[in-house]
Amino acid sequence: MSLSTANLKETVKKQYFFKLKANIDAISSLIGIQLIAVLFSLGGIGGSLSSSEGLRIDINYYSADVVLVFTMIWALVTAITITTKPYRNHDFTFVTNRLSSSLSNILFLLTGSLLGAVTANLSRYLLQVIGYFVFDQQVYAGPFDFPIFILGIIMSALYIFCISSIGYLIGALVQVNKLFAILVPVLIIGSIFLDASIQKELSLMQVFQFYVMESNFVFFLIKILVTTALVFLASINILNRMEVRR
Amino acid sequence: MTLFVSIIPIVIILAVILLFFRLKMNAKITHWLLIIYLGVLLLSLCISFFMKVDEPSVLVEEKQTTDLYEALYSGEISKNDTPYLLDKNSFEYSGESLSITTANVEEGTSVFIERKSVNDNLVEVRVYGNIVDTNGLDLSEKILPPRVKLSEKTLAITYPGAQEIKVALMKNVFASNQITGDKISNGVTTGGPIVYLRIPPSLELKADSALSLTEVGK
Repeated sequence: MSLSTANLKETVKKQYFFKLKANIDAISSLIGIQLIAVLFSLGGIGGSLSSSEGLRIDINYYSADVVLVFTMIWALVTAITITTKPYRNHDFTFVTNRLSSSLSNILFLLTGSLLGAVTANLSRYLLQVIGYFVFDQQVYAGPFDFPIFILGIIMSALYIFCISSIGYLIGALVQVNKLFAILVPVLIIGSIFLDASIQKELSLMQVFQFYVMESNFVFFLIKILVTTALVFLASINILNRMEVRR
Repeated sequence: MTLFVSIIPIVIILAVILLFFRLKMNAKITHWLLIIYLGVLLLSLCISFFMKVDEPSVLVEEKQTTDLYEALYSGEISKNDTPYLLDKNSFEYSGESLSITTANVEEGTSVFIERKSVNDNLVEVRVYGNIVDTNGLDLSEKILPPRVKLSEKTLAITYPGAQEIKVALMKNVFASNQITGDKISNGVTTGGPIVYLRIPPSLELKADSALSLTEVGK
């Protein structure tokens, strides 16, 4: 092991633990946003109604999907936020470079993703308990299936981490040039309008389906990890250039 | 209740947004907040194990392959212990004719009649019905079956009236459903409750006008 590698490892480790403390506000907002999502989920995520021969059946489905989606939004915003100048200034506490800063940020986002995934998957039980005790509604959940529970956490964490990598890239681009703050939303919204105007399937939807429609875990893992790694590499590269420029 | 549920989130959102903008939480508060939140979530998980909920059964294969009405019209439904059976009863009856009266019945409701091949002086009453959601859950046992009583020469069927069954189902997050193949597809199939009578071959039936008698297996 070379001396420089050991130093980088040590710096990243120190910065990571420092960022866990310094960015603790992000955890408060994660809890806040998940609680809001739980409240939204109390109304259910869909249902079906059938009526025949004096029999009216009203089935309501509950799930932590909204909590997971809100957690993804949280990850996107947190990843953008930690690339901003006030957060980058934290790094000057240490002997550092852009690479160690980015690596510690990625580790922080990974920690946040895991925490978000665990709490999002546990929130379904909170929904169930609120439904039972507050609204006097029996929510059928089936027996507790530990492997499915773990699968839910792993899959959720992968999604959240991937979304955070996109947020980190957007944040990095905005740090290079503030115009990206306008350009990125314009590109996203513009592509939606363009696809809609020529009555073509939304390009964003096709990208989305590439991941969401994958039912093989190994293929999904490869797709999402490769994407996340490439996006983080691009971000690191962009932020490294900033050092040269400034 | 629905209005209450829809208003709560808006109020809470405003409160939380204001709270987060006004208070810069220090690390100690956040640590406690996280510990309490995780504690509440884990406690919810533990409580959910002890909550008494009548779980619906998973759809049996026989139901998936057999249509309730097809089985009724063919007269095959009484041959086996079909999963559509909600209730069964039998009465000894040796008269030549039987009147059927009903209460709380909707106009045009059918009572299915199967004539047995031998006269065993027995009127067998079966009630069939099903509620199956498209995700494969069988909620049939939630149907309140009609009450059927025999007094002298009259068979009285008391329907339970309009029934409203409310069911809440918890699904796994879409991220895990993607791998397991579980899908939330909204839809429910219902049938019944249907009264099915197996009567001696020569028994004459008289029903009130609201009821339609359908002979099966002819």
